Amino acid sequence: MTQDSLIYLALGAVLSGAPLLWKIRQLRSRIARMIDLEQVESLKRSLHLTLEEQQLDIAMRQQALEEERQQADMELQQMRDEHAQLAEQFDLRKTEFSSSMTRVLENCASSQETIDHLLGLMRTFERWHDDLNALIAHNRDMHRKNDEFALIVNQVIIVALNASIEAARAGSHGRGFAVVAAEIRDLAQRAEKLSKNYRSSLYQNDLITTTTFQDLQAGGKMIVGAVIGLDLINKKTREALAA
Amino acid sequence: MISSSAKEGFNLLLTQALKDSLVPSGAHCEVAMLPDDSSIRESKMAVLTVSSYLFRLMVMFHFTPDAATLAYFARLNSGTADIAEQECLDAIAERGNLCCGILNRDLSAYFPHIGMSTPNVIDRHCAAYLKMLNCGHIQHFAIDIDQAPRLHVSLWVSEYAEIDFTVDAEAGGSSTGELELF
Amino acid sequence: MAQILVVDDSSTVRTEVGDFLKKNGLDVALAVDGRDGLAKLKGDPGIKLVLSDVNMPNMDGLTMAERIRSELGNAGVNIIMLTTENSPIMKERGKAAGIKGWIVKPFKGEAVLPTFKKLVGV
Repeated sequence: MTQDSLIYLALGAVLSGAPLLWKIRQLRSRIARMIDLEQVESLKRSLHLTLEEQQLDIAMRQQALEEERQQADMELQQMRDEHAQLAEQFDLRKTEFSSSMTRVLENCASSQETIDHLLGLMRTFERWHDDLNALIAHNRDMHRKNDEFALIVNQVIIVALNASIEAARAGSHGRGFAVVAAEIRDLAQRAEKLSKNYRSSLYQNDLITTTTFQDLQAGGKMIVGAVIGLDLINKKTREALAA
Repeated sequence: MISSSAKEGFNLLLTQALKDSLVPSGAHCEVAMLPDDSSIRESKMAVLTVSSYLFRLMVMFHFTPDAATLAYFARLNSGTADIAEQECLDAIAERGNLCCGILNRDLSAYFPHIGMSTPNVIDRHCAAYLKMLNCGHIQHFAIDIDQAPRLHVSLWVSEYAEIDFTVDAEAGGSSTGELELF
Repeated sequence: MAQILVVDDSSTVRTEVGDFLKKNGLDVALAVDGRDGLAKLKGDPGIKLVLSDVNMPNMDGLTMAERIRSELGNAGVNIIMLTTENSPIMKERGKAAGIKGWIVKPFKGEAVLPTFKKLVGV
């Protein structure tokens, strides 16, 4: 082989090698760019699976939603039924209420009648006032009469004393008279004691009459005050109910 | 049974009522409590009753219709220094009425249902029979006012149930004399 | 022709109040209880103001006020109660009967005189 052929061989190798090399390089890079088919397949498969799962999920959710919707519908219907029931009861209560209001108003009216009768008590107390004033006047009268009686009794005692003195002056002739005079004096003294006793009783009577009279008067005013209070409450209740 | 707080309450309210009714405005007045009625010698008394369903209370205004007393009550009732005995009795009854009116009002704060009688004049001798009324509380008072004879007042309370209340000494007396327009 | 009617069963009050009003140039009529007061009012149309006690025999002051309203009907008469009573219940009853005012005794003339004069038209 000549040198020239060697050079031509080398050159030819190089020349044919270069594109080959270039081609190899290209192929290599191509391969590098090429995705593994298996990988693709598995990716495809996993994608498919995920898609299936998701679709199942959606289906399940849709079903759940449907169930909830049905449930809600049921509950709504229930509420509508309850509402209708309540409305019915409300109407019933309203009727009951207005009839019990009527009853309350009737009670107020009859209370008013009773109160008016009780207020008539005031007239009774007026009557007592007049009657008991008469009692007190009568008591005063009894005092006067007793005092007059006491005066008379005192006079009798004095007269009896004088009679005793005259009897003594008359000596033996006057002895009978003296006895009578003494008896009169005894009687008069007993009468005086009785009169004093009676005077005390009259004072006792005065006290009992006055305190009882006043207690009745004051008590009467207390009762009338309480009844008037009731009257006002009743009137206010009627006004409030009528509104 | 009347509690000691209630007894003090009755005494206090009556004392205030006496000061407000018996005294000409501006005059100085001392009200003292007496241990018994031995110093009370006046010949007549004006009696008033205040009743609640729980108790009955009697106030006695002792007086003797003599010149000094007539003169005092004449002065108290505006101007004229000279009045007859009947008018004096009326004047005393009216003062008693005023005093008990105030007492009645003040007591109604503690006892809502309460009423008062009109006054009556009776003889001093009647007082001996008050013991028959079973009073749970008895108190005698002496009132000294400038330029006036000493006045005696007695309080007798009979109770029908347990009586217990406390008077708020600070509470002002009800206003009197003012016109409340509706 | 009286301008003011004073109604009270106590002669002391009638004198005290009546004299005070007269001293201040007013014409005064007096009555001893509700019945008397009603009669006096009917008999004298010039009365513009009635000053009345509450607790009186024969007809109390509040009943008289109610009767004045129902029988005389006129709004020309003003009624003021002058009494020891101070109960809100009584005042309510008075208001319902149309009374103008309420004074708790004792009577303090100077304080209320201007109002009285105004009510009477002086």
